[in-house]
Amino acid sequence: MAAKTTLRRIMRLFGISAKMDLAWLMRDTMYALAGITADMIGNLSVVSGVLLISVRFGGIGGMSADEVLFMMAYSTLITGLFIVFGASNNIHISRIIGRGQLEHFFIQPLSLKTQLITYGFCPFTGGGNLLVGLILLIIAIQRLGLTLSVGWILALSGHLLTTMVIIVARSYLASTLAFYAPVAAEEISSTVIEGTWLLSTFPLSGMPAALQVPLLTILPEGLMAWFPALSLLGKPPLGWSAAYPMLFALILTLITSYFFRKGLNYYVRKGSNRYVPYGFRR
Amino acid sequence: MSPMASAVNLQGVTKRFVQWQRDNTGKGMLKNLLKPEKKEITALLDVSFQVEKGEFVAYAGPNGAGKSTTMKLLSGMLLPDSGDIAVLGLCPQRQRRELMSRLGVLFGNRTELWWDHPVIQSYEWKKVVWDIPEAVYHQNLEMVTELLDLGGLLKTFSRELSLGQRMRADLGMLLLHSPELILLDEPTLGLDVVAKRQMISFLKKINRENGVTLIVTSHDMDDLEEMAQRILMISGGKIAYDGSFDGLRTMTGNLTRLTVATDNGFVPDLGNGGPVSSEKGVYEFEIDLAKTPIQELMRQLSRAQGVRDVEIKKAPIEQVIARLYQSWR
Amino acid sequence: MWKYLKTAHLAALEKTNGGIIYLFPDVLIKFFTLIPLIFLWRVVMTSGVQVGMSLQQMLSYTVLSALLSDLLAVKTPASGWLSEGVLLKLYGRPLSVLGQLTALTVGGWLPMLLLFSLPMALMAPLLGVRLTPATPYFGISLALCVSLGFAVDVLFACLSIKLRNMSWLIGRIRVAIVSLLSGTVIPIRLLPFGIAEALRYQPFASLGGAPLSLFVGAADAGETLLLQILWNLILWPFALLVFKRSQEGMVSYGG
Repeated sequence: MAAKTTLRRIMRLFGISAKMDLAWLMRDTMYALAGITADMIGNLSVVSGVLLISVRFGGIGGMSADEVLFMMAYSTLITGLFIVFGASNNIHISRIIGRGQLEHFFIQPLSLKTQLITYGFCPFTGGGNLLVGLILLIIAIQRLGLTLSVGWILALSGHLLTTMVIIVARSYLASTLAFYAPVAAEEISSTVIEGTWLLSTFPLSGMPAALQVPLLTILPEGLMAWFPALSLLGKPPLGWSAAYPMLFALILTLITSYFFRKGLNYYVRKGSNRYVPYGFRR
Repeated sequence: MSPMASAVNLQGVTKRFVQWQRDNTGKGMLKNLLKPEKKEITALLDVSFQVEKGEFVAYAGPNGAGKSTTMKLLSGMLLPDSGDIAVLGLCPQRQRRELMSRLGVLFGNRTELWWDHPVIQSYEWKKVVWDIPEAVYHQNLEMVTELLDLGGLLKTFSRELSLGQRMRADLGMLLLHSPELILLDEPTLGLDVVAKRQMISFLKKINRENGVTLIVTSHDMDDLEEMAQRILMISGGKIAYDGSFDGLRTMTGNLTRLTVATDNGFVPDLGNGGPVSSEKGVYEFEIDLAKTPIQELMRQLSRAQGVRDVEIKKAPIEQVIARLYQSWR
Repeated sequence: MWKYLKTAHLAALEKTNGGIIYLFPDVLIKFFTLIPLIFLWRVVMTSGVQVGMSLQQMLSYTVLSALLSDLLAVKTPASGWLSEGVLLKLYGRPLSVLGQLTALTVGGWLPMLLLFSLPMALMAPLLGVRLTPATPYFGISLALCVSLGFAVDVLFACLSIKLRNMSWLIGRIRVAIVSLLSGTVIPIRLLPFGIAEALRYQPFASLGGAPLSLFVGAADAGETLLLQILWNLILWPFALLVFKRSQEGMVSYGG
């Protein structure tokens, strides 16, 4: 059996995950639909709060209600991508590490990277928010009278990819703590990503720069939806370059890579006595 | 024995762990905040052994002896503090992926099956992830279905399987990529008698007919004696014994159980302190053949009155092992 | 009573046993979510649109909601009955199951109350936020809110027992619905399109939003307390009945 990881093999791995996702949807439809509904309701409750405020107050900090809608659409698309590619705790990797489930990955003849990229792919059951996000985006584009071009669509794709990279890098950076304290840090990724999800839906327009800058640098919640949304509307905040998120993503990825490798080396030296099967291949 | 011909080769492997200690008193908790107390545990200390290809080895020891640690080191999940490990000629730490395509690992309290999918779906997933050629996959699927009686289980959701069925399904999944070496950590854990018998019979068959090398850990000594030809016993991180089960008995004094049925309530006097149990004229004696040779035993029996029936058998291996564990404490 | 206090004590210790330092990410995230929220409200409330609440009231509402978040939307360990085997353990002890759940929940609140709520309450004046109740009835309303929260939690736990494999989904839907309908994030009276009127009398409105509104003086004490008492009287007997009926499901399946 081949040990090499080719593009063909990666596509096959995505394929089998997608096939199993579809099989699960078709076989246990009620459960799958309930899951899709739960994901959609969960996300909509977060974005609807901000939307309702913007409607009630005629906008937020200089952003019109339609611009806020566009930002919420972007946020929902990100949620959709997160669920499609990360439904199996491969993004919330502190759960895998903390629960001692990493050993399941060690016995597979694939690199850890390849496994984590392909493992949580759920295009069918995870696509609910993606669909909702696309609908909101279309409505927002129509209301704003935006002209779509190939360049703009590429820019949208680039921003979405960059935001996802930032989310994954943040999660993995926080999750390195789980190598050293598996019980205490088991849910740290969830705390860091989902604990701040509400904050990432706040338009930061009108807030003092002393608040905006830290939220674009130290705690990059402003990069989750606000900055990319305004950049796509041709108004990158604070006069910064629209490419700033990409630079941030690159730096964060390098930092994360360093600490994650260190943590992994520590883990294979010290091992883990803890094992909890919950959430693994379930 | 050349290292290349061996399936497993450990040389001078040491592995230590650190355990956090914590007091339950308020003073202890405060002290722990400033200066946490730790205890060092030596799981393996300068351990060396080799396993030839095609062998069936039992790897036993008391709780905390280092069995699971050894399994994890062999599969590359853990790095040793010192020493060398070669599995199928490969270094588990540096050549993990290549090794995993030739090695099969299963821990008794874990499953590799996908919980919310039928068993066959998990198998198909494995085919893709291990990149198993179609012909090999179908051949192995047929084999495991027949040998492990999986026909009725393939379309069942894994979450609906009983423990014994799940273990069989896991074992079937393990074999799909034709591993040359299999590591099983407590494979009979929690299985009922029938399921255990099926598992043991299957493992012996694949070892005998397919030449698969097996290393099995378990606390069930009777199972291990039935499966394996060789037993490696580990205690306190060191190899305490490496040889056959008969050799183990000899080492511990060649304990034998002698059952004598007598008429008229006569209690045979075999000069070793009396029976260990008696019920309705049937007396059971524990004899150490190293101290009382069989010829002497036969002479004493022939002199005893009212002997109706005699049965001699080896002491249960559990008893032998228990004595060993106690002597190691 | 001592047994329940000891249980609560252990529940509090459980959160800190891994090291208090691992609670700090939670504390920091709460802090870093609250500060922008305060500024968000400053921005929208100074836009000139009249909503029946002053900026000062809105800021107090927001800060108090963060400080008392665990009490305003009660979540007991019963929610993790299947994955964590909680309920089965409770039945093996010579204590009331609901009593234990209460003790475990209250105990679990203590670390965050001490590490986040107390320091934040002391810092509030520095952020220009006043934390003095506009009415003495706030305490009673908070107690009724907590009581109702337990009843709602018991009902959701029973629902998740009934739906077994979907228990984690119930949890997600619940968080989403309760946060919006209880008014803990956005006061219900602020919701547009007539939603405020429509949601005023539903049971979730008697959770977090009720005591918060009383605290900032944005609701009538009589009407609010009456609704809370009414929903307690309706939901508690229902919750107890459903809980009793769900017991077999709890102990025979996982749990």
